[in-house]
This record gives sequence, C-alpha cells and structure tokens, in this order.
Amino acid sequence: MVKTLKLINKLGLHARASSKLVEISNKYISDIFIEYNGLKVNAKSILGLLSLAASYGTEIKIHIEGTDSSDALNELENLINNKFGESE
Amino acid sequence: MSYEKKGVAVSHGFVSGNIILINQARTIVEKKKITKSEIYTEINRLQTALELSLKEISELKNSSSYGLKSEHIDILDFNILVLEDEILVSEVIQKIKKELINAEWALNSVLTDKSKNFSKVKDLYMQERLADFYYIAERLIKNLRGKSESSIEFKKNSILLAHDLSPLDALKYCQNSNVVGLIMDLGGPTSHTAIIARSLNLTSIMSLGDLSHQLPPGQKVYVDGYKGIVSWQLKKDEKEEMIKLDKEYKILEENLLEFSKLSSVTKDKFKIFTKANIEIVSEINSAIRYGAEGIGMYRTEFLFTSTDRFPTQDEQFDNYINLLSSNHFDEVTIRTLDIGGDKLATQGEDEINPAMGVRGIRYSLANVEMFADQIEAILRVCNTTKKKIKILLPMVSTIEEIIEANEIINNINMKYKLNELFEIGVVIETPSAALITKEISSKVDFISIGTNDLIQYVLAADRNNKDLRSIWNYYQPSIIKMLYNIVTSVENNKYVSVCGEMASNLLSLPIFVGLKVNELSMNSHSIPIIKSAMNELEQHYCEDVLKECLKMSRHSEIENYLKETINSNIQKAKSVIKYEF
Repeated sequence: MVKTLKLINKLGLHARASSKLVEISNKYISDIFIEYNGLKVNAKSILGLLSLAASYGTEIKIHIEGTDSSDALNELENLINNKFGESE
Repeated sequence: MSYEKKGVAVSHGFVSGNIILINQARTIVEKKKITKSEIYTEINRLQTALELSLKEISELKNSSSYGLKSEHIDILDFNILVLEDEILVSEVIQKIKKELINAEWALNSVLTDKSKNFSKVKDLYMQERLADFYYIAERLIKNLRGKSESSIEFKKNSILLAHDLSPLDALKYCQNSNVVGLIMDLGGPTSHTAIIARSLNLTSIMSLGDLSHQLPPGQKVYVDGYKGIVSWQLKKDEKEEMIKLDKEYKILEENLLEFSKLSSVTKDKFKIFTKANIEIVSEINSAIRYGAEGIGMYRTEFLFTSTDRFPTQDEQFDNYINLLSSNHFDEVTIRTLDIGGDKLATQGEDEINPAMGVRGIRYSLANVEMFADQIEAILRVCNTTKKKIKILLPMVSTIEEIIEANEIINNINMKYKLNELFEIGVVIETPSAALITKEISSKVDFISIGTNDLIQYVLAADRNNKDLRSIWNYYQPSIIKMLYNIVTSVENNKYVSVCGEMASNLLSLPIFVGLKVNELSMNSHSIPIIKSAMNELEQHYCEDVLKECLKMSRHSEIENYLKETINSNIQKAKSVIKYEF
C-alpha cells in the first residue's frame, strides 16, 4: 500500500519528528519504507530517515506491506497531519 | 598483477614491510581480519558494547544531578534511537560476516558511510547531527574495547597506513622501533605529522589519495620515500628491481653521510655556513647527522599550535633550552611566532585573505603579552646558558614594526642586561621589506631572506597553484634581480642568510655563492649535497654566472644557463642526486 503525504510541520523530518516516526513504525510488524527525492529508506531506522533531509512543504511517499499495514498507515498519517505534535 | 601509487615523499628512505591499517577520525580504529569462527565473538562484542552504551546514556538521562535541560534530553534520546537502530546494527553485522573484519572497523565504516549522506545535505541542522554521529561512534568504540587503550601489535617491519594521523598519534606509534614507515592518504611535506616523521628518520609518503581503502592489513608493500611511490603485489623481476633500488639508495645515503663531513667552503675558500631549518627540537639529531653547522631557523609554530593553548613562558624556556643543551651548536636562530588567523581556528573571525592578513610580526605586535613572553623565554635561555640566540622577526613590512619590536625586546632586556648574547634580525619576505632592505638593515643585526613567501608575493603567484607553474619558479629574472638588490643594499656588511627551499636548490647555488651570502639554511637532508657542490664551485666564477643571469630576460634562459653551469662544474653531487631531477 502506498500513500503520498505532505510534510506540514515547520522543521520537516528533523531528529524529533523522525524519532516519533521510528517509534510508531517499530510498533508494527509490517515493512514500512519512506520514499523521498528518489531515495527509499526503512522507516524503522532513524539514520535512514534523517539522511532523507526532507524539509517543510515537501511530499513523502509511505510504502507499507504487511498484516497490520492499514493500522500503521492510519497512525502515521495522523502523526504527519498533526505536525508530529509540534506546537508550531 | 602489480600495483603502484604515487604520492609526495615527505621523509626520505626506502623500506619494505607489512601494512598496519590505522583509522583516526577522532578515535583510532584498527582494521583486523577475523576468521569465520570469530564472527560470533565479534557480534557478541558489538551487542555488549551497544547495551553498555545504551545503559550509560540512560543513566546520564535519569540522573538528576546533571541538571539536564530539555534540549540535552533530546540529544540523549536521539543517541538512544541511533543505538537502537536495528537497521544500523544489522548492517554492521552483515559487514562483519561478509568482510570478516573486526566489529570496530565494521561499525566505523558503516557510520562513515552514513555520515557521508549527511554531509551532502546543505542544512546546518543536519550538519550538527554529524557531530552526534561521531560522538556515538566514539562511545561505542570505547565500549567495544573495554577499558584498556587499544593495543596495536607492531610486528617487525611494520608500515603504518592511515587516512590521516595526528602529530601526537604519529609520535605515539612511530617511536616503536618495529615501525619503519608511515604512509597516509592526506598530509603533505609541511604538515606536522611529516615533520615528526622526518625527526624520527622514518620513511614517509603522504597525499596518496585513497590508498587506505585499497590496501588490506598485512599487505606487503615497498615504500620508496625518495620518489614518493608505494608498490605492492610485485612480480619476481620487479622484486629484484626493488632490491637493486634499495642498494642504490643505501649507497646514496652513504654518500650523503660522507658529504656531510665536508666543510662548506668554495674551491677558492669562500665560507658560507650551511645550517638546518627545524620545527621540533628532536630534529636536531637529523641536523647533526647531515652535517649542519648550526640551527639557522627554529620555527616556533609547532610549539605554539600543538596544544589547544599557547605555551607558557616557562614551557617555552624548557623548550628553547633544549636547542642549546645538545652542545653541538654554540648559537641558534629562533624565529618568533609566524602565525596568522588561518592557523588559529579559535582566534576571532576568519580572514578573507590570510596570506596577507594579520600574521607574523603583525600578530605578535597585536598580541604584545604573548610576544613579550616569547622574547623573555628566549632571553632567559641566553642568560642561563650564556650562549648566543639570534631572534628572527617574520613578515615585517615596515620600519615602524621593527622599531616597536626592538622597543619591546630592549625593555625586557633591561632586566637581564645581555649585551652581546642576543641579536635581532628580520626575515625579508615581503616586497616592501625587500625594497627598504637598506633602512631595515640599519636597525637590526642581521637579515634573512625568506625565499618561499618572497617569491610568491613578488610574482603574485601561489606556489601551490598548479596552473601557475610557468610563473612560480626560482629562475624568474624578477627574483634574481630582487635577490641582488636585497643583498647589495644591506648596510655595513651585516650578516645575510637565506632560508626557504631555494637555499637547498642545487641550480640556485651559483646565484647565492655569487651574491656572497653568509649562510644558507635548509632542511637537513639537503645539506650534504649543497656542501659537496659548494666545494666544486669557485666564488669568483659564480660572480660571473650571477652577472650573466642578471642580463637575461627570460626564466627559461636563466634555468638552462644554470643547468649548464651545474653540469659542467659539479661532478660528485650530481652523480648521487639523479632522483631529484
């Protein structure tokens, strides 16, 4: 399952946002990958996510494959659309 | 198939031996091959180190005594996430299994690869995360090793290979008598690590590109520290060739040691002192070995920049006194700090053009306390040893600078009242100083022509710029005329020395002999050749050579003429230095 989402939090995929993304991804057994700018990295790796350096206003693609994929996508979608819980 | 790689020879010699691979980003990591049966042990070590690192960070986070702020907590959380990054861990484990290497090296290379991605990103925030990576890597590597410092085992004839090695680590490792050579991806002839290698008489080649990624540990290599070539996997006939070469170099070294005993006078008995430029005190040994008649220039930059702060006056005293305590030399020349903003990362803002910025005497006069400390340390050494020290002031461009420096020095001397025991001199290395040599020489005891900088300032050409090779050379008519003007405008026959690499250039020797300079100061290794060549030259003849050169208008003309002069007059030296042409 693939879904494209826009990063609307001010800092983009910086350390704290990536940390949250990894935390949530790790809860699921599905394979989760994030694609950005021609690069595809494992969403369960903080190093991978950071190396994307995806910034504010850009679009990322989430690839999810597995038995709990729809729940995972739901929660990740919520996270991103809620600006990773950042106040700004 | 045989391989070779060319770099820059920074310390002469010819050695063969087996590679010890050392990586030093911040921590030293050694690459070790493991056997298949050791894979499990290495993975276990990695897991233990990861757990230990996680425990340390969690403890740090939970201890209230540190008074952590929320941003610290964020950084620690980030650390924890990286350590828990299963993808990272599995990549390291894969590397250990696939390449059969130790956990330290596998971890280090995975992290280096990752950080490469980061450094491509032009985002300050991401750049700062890079620093965190190194911090994490360091902690892990420390924990991988347990408490003991890494103990690298040096077998006989070890050749160290590193991407880059700090001067201190070079000193630490290279003093081991089993280490016979040092080769590096980075570095160059003037790097401090190169100076250490020379002072230890250790064959060394630098600027070798990515050699540290090409050679496995234990690889047998041949290091030709004359030509700057490393070669490996040689065929039988090539190995024989190497053995022959080794013999030739041994003969060369014998010849040099023979020449080093000569006195440096011309055929018609005109005396020119040949002295050594040194940067660390232990280089005195090599100066003595190659027959230096004194220390013509002790550069103090290494002393000032080898730690994160300037040395105190007492530390300087202890350092300078070593120069005179060897009892080989009755006097030494010490150049005061020749440093600019470019070399002092911690001092103020970056200068746009450091070569023409606040350096040398300009820096000293802007930091009078530091300058006074250096001068007082020198005068105290004079006072204690009763031996003479010549103080050399670098990068002077105006008379006011000399007056100001003289005043500071004389003020300090009021305390010691040393009359004949010290002299003050100036490095003529700016075009301005060259043009007012007459006025300068009336204010000081001696002058020294700093050819390296003088040539680059006169020609407005950076010597390291490959595209300017046809401009930057010793034989430009403007350079010969400049040297002539400097030497002939010195007042009252005051002492003139030449420092800088031109002093060791065989083709330039007839010029300096023709100019009747008093001293040539150069790297120790060049002294025997220059002594021997001087023995075969006649001073009067060289005056004619100089006159001819002054008439010529093209550098190629001058160079060819000097080549002819050397070819037809010098026999002994020429036969042994063919490798330099």
